[in-house]
Amino acid sequence: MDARTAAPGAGTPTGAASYFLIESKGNWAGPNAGTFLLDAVALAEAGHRVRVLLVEDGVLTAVGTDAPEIRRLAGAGVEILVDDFSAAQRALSATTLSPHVRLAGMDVAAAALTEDGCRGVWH
Amino acid sequence: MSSTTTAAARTGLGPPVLCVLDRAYRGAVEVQFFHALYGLLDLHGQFQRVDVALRGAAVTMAVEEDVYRPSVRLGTMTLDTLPDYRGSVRDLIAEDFTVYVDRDAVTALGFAPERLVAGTICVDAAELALRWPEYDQVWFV
Amino acid sequence: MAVMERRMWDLLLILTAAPHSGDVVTSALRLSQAVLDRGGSVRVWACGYANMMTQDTFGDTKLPNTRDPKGHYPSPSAVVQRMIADGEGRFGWIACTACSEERGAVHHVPQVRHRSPLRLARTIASARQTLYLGGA
Repeated sequence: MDARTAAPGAGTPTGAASYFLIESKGNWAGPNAGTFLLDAVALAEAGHRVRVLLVEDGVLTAVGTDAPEIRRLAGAGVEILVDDFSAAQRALSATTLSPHVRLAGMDVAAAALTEDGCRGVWH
Repeated sequence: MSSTTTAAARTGLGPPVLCVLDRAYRGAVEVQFFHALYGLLDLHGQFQRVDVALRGAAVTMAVEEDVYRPSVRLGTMTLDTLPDYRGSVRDLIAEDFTVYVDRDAVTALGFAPERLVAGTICVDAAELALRWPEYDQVWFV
Repeated sequence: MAVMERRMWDLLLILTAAPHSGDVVTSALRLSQAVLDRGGSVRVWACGYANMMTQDTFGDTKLPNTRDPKGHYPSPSAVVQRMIADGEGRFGWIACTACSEERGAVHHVPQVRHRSPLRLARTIASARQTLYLGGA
């Protein structure tokens, strides 16, 4: 299978893809804005490699020690990154982030997105 | 707190206005100083009174912190003129705006109220709505 | 007959979200710079109101800051031009001609390439990675 072609159907993929998903909205951007993270869970549960970068208002989803969306992502094996600049803009050093996330700079996103076969999606 | 103590009277011709800001962070690189709070600071002299309410994600602009640096490197340029959100909230207080901050959002985001910029007022959403009659106009900025 | 080899870019950002609507432009430029810092190459395809970023009516600086009249604040087009110059061929900016005309924003700075939306797929084919930043 072509590394850039999705597996047919919704079942287990014959060749797992690698996704780097960038969430710029999240639950604080409006109703259903956080649904994108459920897409990430579904992809991970289907066997694909999934990494998520929370950026802009998306970083607010990582607030709290038991953020449900983050817990679900982590449970599905998704690596969850929080953009350091966006977090600083929003004073998140003054609150607590989920233990399942780690702060990262755009250099991490640049490295991931330039990997062979990595598929980037921005929301 | 009564309306007479929440804001200094101004001599402008414009009506008393409550400006509610529930969307923040709208374009750091392109906006720089020209963000919503700057607009209020720049224009409030035209009005008898302008007060501000920060809701939703915008409450984060009123939380004191010491990590954010208003700077980004693009090419060989260090653009160090990005918005200073908390500085602007301090300026609002210094210029006698009343700045309300929505308690529900502050709580939901896990901020301690004592981390808010000094002089801001933490209020419940319903309490803020009850203050609307004190103003001729309410603007969602 | 010699075969022309098509240039491949590492990252194409289809930027359709409007400046001043959110921090999407800031994020896009930060990501671009991070790719450039790795020695990679980036192209931005500006759609919708993102075409306002590069209008030649800006000049080099923003309007005066009444609270800091002596401050220097680069205009959006100056920022883009600077990144193009500093990128030395590794950073490019394309203005979608249809979106530019639709918004009456056709006077771009000369460093910007004008391209018909009919060439979008071809532009995507010239990039190893494409991100679509929606919002137009």
